[in-house]
Amino acid sequence: MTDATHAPLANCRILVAEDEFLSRMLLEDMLADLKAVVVGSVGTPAALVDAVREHAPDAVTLDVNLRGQPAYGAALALQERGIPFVFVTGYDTLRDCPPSLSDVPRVSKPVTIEDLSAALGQALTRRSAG
Amino acid sequence: MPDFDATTSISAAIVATTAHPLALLDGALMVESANPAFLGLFRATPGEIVGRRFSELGNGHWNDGELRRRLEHVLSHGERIDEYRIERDFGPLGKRIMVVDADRIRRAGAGDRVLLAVTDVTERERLRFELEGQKEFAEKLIDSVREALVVLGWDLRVHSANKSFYDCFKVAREATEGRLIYELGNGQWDIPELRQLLEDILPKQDSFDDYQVQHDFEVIGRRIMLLNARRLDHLNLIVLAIRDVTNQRRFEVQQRALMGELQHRVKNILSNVRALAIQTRRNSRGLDDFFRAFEARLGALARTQDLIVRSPTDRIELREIIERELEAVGAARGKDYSAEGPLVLLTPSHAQALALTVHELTTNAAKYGALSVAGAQVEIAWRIEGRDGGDHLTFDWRERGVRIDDPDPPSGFGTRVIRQSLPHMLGGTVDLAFHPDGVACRLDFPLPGTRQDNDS
Repeated sequence: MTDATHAPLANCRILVAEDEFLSRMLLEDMLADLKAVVVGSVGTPAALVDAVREHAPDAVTLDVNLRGQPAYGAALALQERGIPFVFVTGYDTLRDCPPSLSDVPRVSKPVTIEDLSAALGQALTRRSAG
Repeated sequence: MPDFDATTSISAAIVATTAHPLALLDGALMVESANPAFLGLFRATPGEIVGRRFSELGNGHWNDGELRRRLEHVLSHGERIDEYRIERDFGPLGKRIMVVDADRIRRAGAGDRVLLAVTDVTERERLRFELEGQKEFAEKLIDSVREALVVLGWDLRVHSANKSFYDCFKVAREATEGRLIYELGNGQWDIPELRQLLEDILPKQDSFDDYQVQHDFEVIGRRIMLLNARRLDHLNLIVLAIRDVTNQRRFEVQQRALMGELQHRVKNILSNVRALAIQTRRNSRGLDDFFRAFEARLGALARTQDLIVRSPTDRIELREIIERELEAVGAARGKDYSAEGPLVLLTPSHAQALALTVHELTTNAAKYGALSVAGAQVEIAWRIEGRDGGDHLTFDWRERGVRIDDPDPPSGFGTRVIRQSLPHMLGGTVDLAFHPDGVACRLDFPLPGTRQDNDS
């Protein structure tokens, strides 16, 4: 599954925020295929805040809906801390999304490794550019 | 001095030309003269009428004892007859309603006479009856309509309103009729859009349809209404129909949200299926191996979905999840496994997480463990414990009668699901151990408000 196009994520330390277990496993495996390092997986916004503090990840994949709650609060906190992240979403459109989050890279479910790689790459590039 | 001849000739002309049937009766109540209208009414020539008793006219159909008595009274006492009404079959005229008026005309030097006027009011009565019927029909129609209707005069005062209007807007009839529409219910009908519709639009066109107006009413709260109006120009009235679509709009919003939620769930299911397929492929040794494992996992997912859809309260019984999973691999309760514990109702997310774990435990047991050898058994037991201010479910899976040589077998997809899914999704702990006589697995997770105290 790995090739040179996925190299930009090699050794990147990624935190997965995803409440569905199967989706989480899939993301973890895809990230492993992309040679990234999954530093942790969380299922709630509260656990995300703790895990970010603990692991200081390079980037986060954030499911927009964690246990039925929009994760925009957690997203804004990540933005404030300057941690790159991508939205993983089951919705075509993000409902009630704060304007400052409108250009966060998105990966829609079902996630493909190409989409995931591209979105994370975009998030990380933006960070280094800004 | 008045010109007597002129007056007489004018009177004669009036009598001759009026459409009102008139006759003069003499002291014996015999017809002295009759005008053309009277002749027309009786379908007779002067020769057939003049000189005959009034009561004998029209083949005796006018022989009305009471009328005769009253006519005599006119003569003798000067007592006028005012709208004496006769309703009967007048032979060739058919069934008619006649009204008779009579007065005495005094004559110096000769006997008094009676001026008799007959009016056929049949048609008038019929119309009046019909009109009343139509009015009643209209009123009943208006009252029976479920839409709120209010009839306004052109001065925008309420002429009337129907029951639906009073019911819907909680105003009293006494405080409504005759009032300006804007004054109703303490001025709560003073709605700018309504003013515009009634004062600007309606004068220009004779109706408007389905204007949506939103307004906060004092008593009934925020309402969304569709306004329809018709000008009734010949009556100087306006009919305003008000359809309260608040609930309908609310329902539509709910419906949209529900569709969105459904779409979300479907996408989730599909993404789970896809994740299952990818994960299963990673750990498969070939297409057949993949297909068997994938189909079994898909089955587990489908079984939980079945339970979720079937359970009207969206709660799923723990025991049912266990029995369905074990029966899916052909295990018989009492022989191959035991299941002991109280009735526990799980939320869909808990049910899904647990079903996934139970499925992987069952699959392992059917492939390598207690469900793969005769004489071995799975003992399943669960209990609820109050701890840390909430209920926790402790679930034990213990296989016995199996020989396990390797206490630390390689970790595949199934083991990963068993070890990680519950802690991840429900925030609990999982302890999976490989004892020499079989697998032991303890699940422990918080159970938010799902306990039922009666044992099953």
